[in-house]
Amino acid sequence: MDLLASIAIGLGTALTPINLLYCLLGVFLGTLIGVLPGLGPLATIAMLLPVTFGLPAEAALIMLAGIYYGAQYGGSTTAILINLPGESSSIVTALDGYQLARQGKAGLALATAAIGSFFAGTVATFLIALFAPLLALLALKFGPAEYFSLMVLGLVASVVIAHGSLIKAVGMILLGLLLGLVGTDVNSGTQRFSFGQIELIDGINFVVVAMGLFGLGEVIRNLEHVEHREVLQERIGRLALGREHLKAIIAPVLRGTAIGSILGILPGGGAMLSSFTSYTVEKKISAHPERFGRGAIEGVAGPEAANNAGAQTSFIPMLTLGIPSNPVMALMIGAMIMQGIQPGPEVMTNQPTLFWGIIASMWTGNLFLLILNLPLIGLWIRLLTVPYRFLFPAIVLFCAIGAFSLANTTFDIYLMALFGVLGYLFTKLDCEPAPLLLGYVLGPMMEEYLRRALILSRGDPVVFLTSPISAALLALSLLVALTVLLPVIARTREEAFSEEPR
Amino acid sequence: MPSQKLVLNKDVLSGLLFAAAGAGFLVLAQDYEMGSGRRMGPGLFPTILSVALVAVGVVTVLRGWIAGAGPVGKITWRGLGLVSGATVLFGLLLHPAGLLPAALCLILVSALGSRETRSREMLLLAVGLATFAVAVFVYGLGLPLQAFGPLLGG
Repeated sequence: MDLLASIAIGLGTALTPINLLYCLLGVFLGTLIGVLPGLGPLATIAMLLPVTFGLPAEAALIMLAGIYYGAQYGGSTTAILINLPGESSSIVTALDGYQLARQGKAGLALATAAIGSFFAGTVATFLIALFAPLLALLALKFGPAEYFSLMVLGLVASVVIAHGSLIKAVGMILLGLLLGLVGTDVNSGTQRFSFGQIELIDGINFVVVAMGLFGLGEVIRNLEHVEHREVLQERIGRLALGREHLKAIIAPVLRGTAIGSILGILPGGGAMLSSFTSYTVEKKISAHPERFGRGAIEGVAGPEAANNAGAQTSFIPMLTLGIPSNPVMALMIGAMIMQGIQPGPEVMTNQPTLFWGIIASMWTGNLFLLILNLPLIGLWIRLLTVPYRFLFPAIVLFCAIGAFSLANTTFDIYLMALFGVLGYLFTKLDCEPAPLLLGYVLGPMMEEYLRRALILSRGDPVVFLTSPISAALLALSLLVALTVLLPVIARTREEAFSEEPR
Repeated sequence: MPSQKLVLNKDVLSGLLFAAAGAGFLVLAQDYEMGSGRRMGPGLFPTILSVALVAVGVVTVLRGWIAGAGPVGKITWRGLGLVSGATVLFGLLLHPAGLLPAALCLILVSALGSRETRSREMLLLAVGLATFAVAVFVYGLGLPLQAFGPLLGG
């Protein structure tokens, strides 16, 4: 009964004309920018964040969520049509999707991706509505010690999914945590690491960090290569599924949805891990594994369902605990804080319209995605052919204006340029910038919880081990950290990431 | 095989970067009160983190020396310099010259960062985008900016 009432509240929020409009706008802009070459969901959200700050909190978060699914779907479109995954979670989609496109069946692959995503998104939305309140209730029992340990687990898990060297990912997290502490310390009023700059008193704006690392940094990296893009010569083919296709994809979609829903909730999980796992599973259980990589429709259906389900359920820890399980969720948390909302379990009880509104909007967002993408595919294909030399100056300009608009100060523009340079150098050194952003968002929160936990225990650090929940979370972190070091797992992990381009 | 003779490989350089950043934060953090476990001062948490960062840096350097790692690879100084330079130039010009000239400069300078840029195309793009930006951000969204700044009689 409660659930129905809550869903009614959510739909009441999500279905107001103004929120529907922002949801549509978000999905549209997200797909539009996601389809453009060289722009993944992180860069897309970072660039559009300043646009949402003028909106009411509900509309802003609904729009950002829409941008996320839109960019996600845009990434799949480029993966299928030009073998250029817009983001890491659609790498596996490119494997078979592009082959289908070369056989003149791009329409089939695109329709499969759209329908698989819609189905998975719908199921995952219901799962969120079902489980998020339970988790939020549990979280109300959390004290500072438990929260601190939970964040440790989140950070450890994010190291596991980072590509490349573990120790470097740890370094990036620590660097992010430290950068997050720049500005006034809430407790003592001491200004830390601000070099006397007035602009740094409130800390480094996280949009500046994100736009620099993921917007400018990407632009510079893309300038390394002379552009060469394979433009699809073959016909797209019919954008519809026949009955035999539906039959072929129904099981992979169901399995993908299940895999994605579970992996999305795990800290450090999310879309990428889900799509990789789903592809592996489909290949393993297929009667004809040799078809994979040569245009197997199951290889598109499963991972697409999985990545969408994973993208949705990764909202659960963010909405209920205020813990980002991946960099995109770190951006969402940053957006919430900028809207004056303290993320955590209180959001559900104190702001039910916001909480349930976002959840309900996920379903309308997925519906828009389906309605929008199939007819607009012609427009997206035309956008795919926009040369990068036209795009990147525009990206730089919008990042610069966006940085200025945050606090109407040019200081943020310079700071963003600095983070752009750093972002590029980090990727040259094989240090992934994403863990830095996670650390950056969590830094101040971790310090605060650590401080409060120690005040409550009168300075006794054993409190993290005597509280059962906290001890369990820390044990889990240790377990996760140790398993990665096991040679067998380390090798599989390397294999999973070696399928990535570059 | 990774080239083992390379002294400044990716891992060594990353490690040095971490260690240097950690040391920097560590030195700065010593100015802040440490407090005690019972009442953490503003210096304690940054000190713990920066010590850990220095340690991670040292381990990364050692690993890079012992196990070896790839070279950093070619850095596109042209792209790096022109894109970041164009952004800084934009910031410098924004108030004195106004959004329109600042945007024009940003686009033209950053466009030079790509080897594929053609001058006539870029001029058109610059004029188009700059006008669009002024229309949207100055007149549409009402950012506190002028199309032409005091330097240009605005």
